[in-house]
Amino acid sequence: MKLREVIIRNFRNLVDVCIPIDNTTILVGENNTGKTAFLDALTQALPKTGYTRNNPFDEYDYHMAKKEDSPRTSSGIVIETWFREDRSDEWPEAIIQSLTEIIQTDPVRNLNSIGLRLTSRYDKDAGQFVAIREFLNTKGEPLGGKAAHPAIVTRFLEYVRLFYLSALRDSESEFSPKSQFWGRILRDLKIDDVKRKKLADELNKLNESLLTADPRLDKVRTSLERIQTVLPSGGKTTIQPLPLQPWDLMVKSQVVMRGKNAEVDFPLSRHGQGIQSLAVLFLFQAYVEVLLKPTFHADTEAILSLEEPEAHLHPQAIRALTATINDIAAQKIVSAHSPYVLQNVPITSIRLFRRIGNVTVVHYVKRSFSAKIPKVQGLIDYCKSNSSKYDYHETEELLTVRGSIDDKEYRKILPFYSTDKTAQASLKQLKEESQLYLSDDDITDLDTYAKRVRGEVFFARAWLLCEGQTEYLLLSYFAELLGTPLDRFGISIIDFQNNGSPAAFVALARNFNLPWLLVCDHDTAGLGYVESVKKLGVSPAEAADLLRPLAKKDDDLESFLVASGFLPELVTLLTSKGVTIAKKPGDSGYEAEVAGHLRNRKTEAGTDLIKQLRNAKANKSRVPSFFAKAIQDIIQKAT
Amino acid sequence: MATKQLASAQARLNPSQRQAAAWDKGPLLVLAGPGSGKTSVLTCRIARILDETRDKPFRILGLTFTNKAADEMRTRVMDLVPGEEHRLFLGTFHSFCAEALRQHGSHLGISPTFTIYSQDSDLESFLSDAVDRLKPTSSVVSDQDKKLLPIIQRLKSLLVFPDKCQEVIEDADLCQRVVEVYPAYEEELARHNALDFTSLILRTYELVSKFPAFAKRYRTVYPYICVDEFQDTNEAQYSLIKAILGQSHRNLFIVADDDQIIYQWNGASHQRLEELASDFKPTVLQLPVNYRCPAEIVDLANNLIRNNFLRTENKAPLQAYQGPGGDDAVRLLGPYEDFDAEAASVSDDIQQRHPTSPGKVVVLARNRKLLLGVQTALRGRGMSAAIAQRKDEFESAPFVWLHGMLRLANDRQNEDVLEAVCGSFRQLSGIESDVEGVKAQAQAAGQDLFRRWLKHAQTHAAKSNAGKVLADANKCLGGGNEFLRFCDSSLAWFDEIARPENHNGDESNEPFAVFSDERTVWTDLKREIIGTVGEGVTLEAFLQELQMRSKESIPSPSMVRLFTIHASKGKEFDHVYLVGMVEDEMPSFQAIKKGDRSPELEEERRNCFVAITRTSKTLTLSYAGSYNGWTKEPSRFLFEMGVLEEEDS
Repeated sequence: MKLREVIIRNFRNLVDVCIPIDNTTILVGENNTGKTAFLDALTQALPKTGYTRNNPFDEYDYHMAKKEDSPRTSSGIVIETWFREDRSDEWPEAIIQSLTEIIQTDPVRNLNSIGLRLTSRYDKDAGQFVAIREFLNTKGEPLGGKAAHPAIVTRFLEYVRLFYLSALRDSESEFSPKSQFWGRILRDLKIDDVKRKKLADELNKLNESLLTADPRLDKVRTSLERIQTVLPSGGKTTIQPLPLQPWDLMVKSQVVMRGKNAEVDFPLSRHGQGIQSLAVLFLFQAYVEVLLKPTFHADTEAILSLEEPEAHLHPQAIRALTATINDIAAQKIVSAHSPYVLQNVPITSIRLFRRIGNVTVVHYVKRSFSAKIPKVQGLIDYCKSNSSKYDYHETEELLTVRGSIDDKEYRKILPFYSTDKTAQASLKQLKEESQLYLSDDDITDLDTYAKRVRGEVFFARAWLLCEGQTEYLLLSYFAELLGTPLDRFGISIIDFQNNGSPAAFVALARNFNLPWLLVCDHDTAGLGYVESVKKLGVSPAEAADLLRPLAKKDDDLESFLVASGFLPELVTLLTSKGVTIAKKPGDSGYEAEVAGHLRNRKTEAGTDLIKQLRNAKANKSRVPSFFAKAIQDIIQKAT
Repeated sequence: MATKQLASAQARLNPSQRQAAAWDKGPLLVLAGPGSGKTSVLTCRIARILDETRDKPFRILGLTFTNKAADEMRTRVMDLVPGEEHRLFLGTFHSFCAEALRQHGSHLGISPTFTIYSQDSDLESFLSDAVDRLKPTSSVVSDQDKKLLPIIQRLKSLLVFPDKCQEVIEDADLCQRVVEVYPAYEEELARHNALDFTSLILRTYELVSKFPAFAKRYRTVYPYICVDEFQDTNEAQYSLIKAILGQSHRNLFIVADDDQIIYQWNGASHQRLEELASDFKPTVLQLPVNYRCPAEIVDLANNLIRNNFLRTENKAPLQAYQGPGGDDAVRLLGPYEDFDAEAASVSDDIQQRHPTSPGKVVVLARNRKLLLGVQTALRGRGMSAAIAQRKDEFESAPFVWLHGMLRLANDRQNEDVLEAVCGSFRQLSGIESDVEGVKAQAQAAGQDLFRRWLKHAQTHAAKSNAGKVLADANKCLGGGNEFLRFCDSSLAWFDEIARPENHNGDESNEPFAVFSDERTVWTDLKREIIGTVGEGVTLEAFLQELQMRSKESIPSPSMVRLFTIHASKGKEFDHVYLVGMVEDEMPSFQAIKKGDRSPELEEERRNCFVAITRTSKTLTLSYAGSYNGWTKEPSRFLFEMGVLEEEDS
């Protein structure tokens, strides 16, 4: 059973978020944007032990927007977890049998789901905070009857086990006999009776020889025996250096490792943080493989919520670790701060947390778009004959589209609602939203190019898109000259030519709701980029503001630079490379020739120009106003 | 490891019972005669399977025809395998369907808060509204169509949906009217979010046949399905079972007796068992040993039923487990001059023979009219006597109020219920509610009737002893299963105002006349409903289950009970008096008209068979020479049984 959606309201900064969950889901975002709150909420929603009347929240968990708010006036914390089948008959028979009261079925698509809601609010009559767990129907209404019996929460939680590993993975406590995995593994060890007796005998012998090793020990023992004179128990007092029961001995087990080129084994706790952290993760894997199913049911599945797996590890180790995490037989929800973690996960699994005021918003790549639209036969038929893209849920009256609605399709659907203004408005909005859709090819491109090279872009507050590497270098240098280095504002420059298409990046930025701005040449290729982005449903006003080809027609970067006061530096550059310029300064076409030579030496030209300017201690007056404006504008959008 | 209770229950079974209880998979038909211990077989088998599979999550579905049978079996199973209750659904077809529609009915546009209407008078008024709605625009519908309810019910029990009635109704004129009235009636039910009993089955059938996902769901969850009293299933119920089972699932355990089919008029048929045989090819096991009746009665039963042709081939005759019951085991009284004399003599006989234990005596008859005669005679002799019948509604003011409050909380704009609440509240508290005022204020304030009435009552009763219960209503009737707390609070209030010192020496205390009986009934029903639906029972489910159950109270041991044969089904009694044993009564006039070898006449014979096999100690048959002024011959069944000898003429 896979967790497929989490809805949270009024929990700390998570005032109203709805987050789809993949097999592996990566939460990214700056510090304090609510990633840990999300994992904490999940831990409360899916606790280890089933039913308890105790309220698991403390007063700071209730979102308070204004100073005069208090947890008692809060409308209450709501955490919904939705488990859904991805395909028919996915859930095993035993789960269907055991949980039938709470399983909701979409009989048309033949898909099952379970929704569990945890609500906590102040109950005026009871004079205390109360927490309620309820299973839901697909409309989000609580189920009654047998589905409301407390025992079913417990039964359900035996099939879904959530494990939380915090950023501070201290091997000492995780490998203690009381810990969630190691302790269980030790306690579950089975030693047969014959073997146990033999071991106990041997331990006894060892104890005796240890006691005789130093005669003083026996003196101590005799002295302690006087307890019997005060409180006679009739027994004998002994000292046991080693516990007599193999299990007592086992719980003291520890993992030892020998470092590279070392000769002595060290306990795990004496190794570095990175090793310790890794060891805990592997321990979890061992637990899932060895104990999870025997302890619960053959169909029990684990959800691992993992905070910052990259902590204390170097980049290669992080990338290796990501592969390891993928192998753990569990659904993984991982919060990460490292671009390296993102390099091995699909772009669709990223959930971007951003904080606006004291409210968190979460963005992600949407693979489908839905809207409530009243049931009419025409639409039902249309969806049936276009079922690869369209889907209509009759009971919920929900239209879902997996792709962007094009004009042709829109014109076919709209007439079904020729008199229903509300439905028309919903359809229009759905059409607009659906333009954000990224095709499978776009996603493959973004996955292949963008993410592998530049995982950091997902941690940026805004994107400045440009064509190639020269623009990339110049933009960051110009920003420096202006005294506003882009890193300081969390702005990533993305050179889209080498990393996919500009439209894919803009679509991605819009999916993640990231501010963006694009500069490009004013030539055929550049105008082509502009057109491809406009097709995404960018409004004319937005297009005028955000899509910025160089000012003059037919301008490319080289002719732009030549015309923007850099002619002397560029000529020096060409001369030093042994390029002969046929025309003389002042000749007609001289500038054009220089620009032509530069086009053959693109990257070199950029680095060399910057070098010359640095040496000459250039100041901000040298920054062309076109670029200065682009830089100022994106900074403004980012802050 | 079987529990001690289960092991000893199994040890008590005879070899053929044990064979049935040990049946694991595949279709089985258990032909269980009256008093053959079928309930033990069913409960032992269910308990055994649950016990052997304690680590498995699958469940067992047991369908019965009466709540009493279901409750009895559930209690027994829970006793045999404690802790496995949640793996069992034991209930009537109607309870099962109500649960299915609450859970999945939204896919058919049925809201889970539907109300079940069980009384024909309610349904007739829906039909009447539907007809009134049709009349202005229809050329064929008229007031006479307000009498079409039985036809519509019959169509529904045959699984004929409104769009298909043309295929089954031959009379063209009738068909034309039904085609319009039937869907209008269904629409009227839907407008009120109401379902009648036949809709429960029909719509559940629609659910599982329209969406195979649900049929599959039920057979996955319930790999073992058992049906008790299968001979009484009608077309709709049997089709529902088949739809759930699908093409390949064959784990069906059927208990039936074709000699006890007495619901032919409701669509039951001896053909059902033939259909079952051809659809599922079940193995057949017979349980002929009768543990209930003295040997003499078993002989009568065998003599009688062998005259039926429409019954399973090779059906083994009943075998008496008990020895002979002595001279009193079977007696024939009569012929009396007329039915009045018969009723008088039967009453005298009961009075003389059972002066201290009238509660162990029952009087059975083919129809209610005969029972009324005997009841009058019994009462005339100062004996207490009552005809057992389904009681649809509570009668005492306290429970009329409580039931009304719950209904109003669930259906907040229902004016009829509001009136019941106001009336009973006046009887309980002496406080008059201004019904019209409440309605008007509710409308003006855009509030529901429940809220408005409660506010109104709280204002007027703040200082009375009803203050607390009204406050609790306010608190608990908002949602969830808090309503049970309100019920407890109401009971506490009733108990307080029922105390003699609190009604000013008014001896009769009319509003509380049957309070203490109904209090017991209420407590029992609540326990049974929670047993069926679960502890988290919602208000709507509680009301639906309550509507499906009779509110009659447990009879007092000083009272002689009178049953129609249909109402006596599935029960047993020490001393049975079967009256009116003449032609045209038993068998009935209508059946005789159909011919000696008609299915109708055979059903009459089965009625007689069922009646005499209720007896565990003595059976007294009686007849007279004339009924309502018409001369009648002794019943042919008396001859067939061998109680009367044919005179050579």
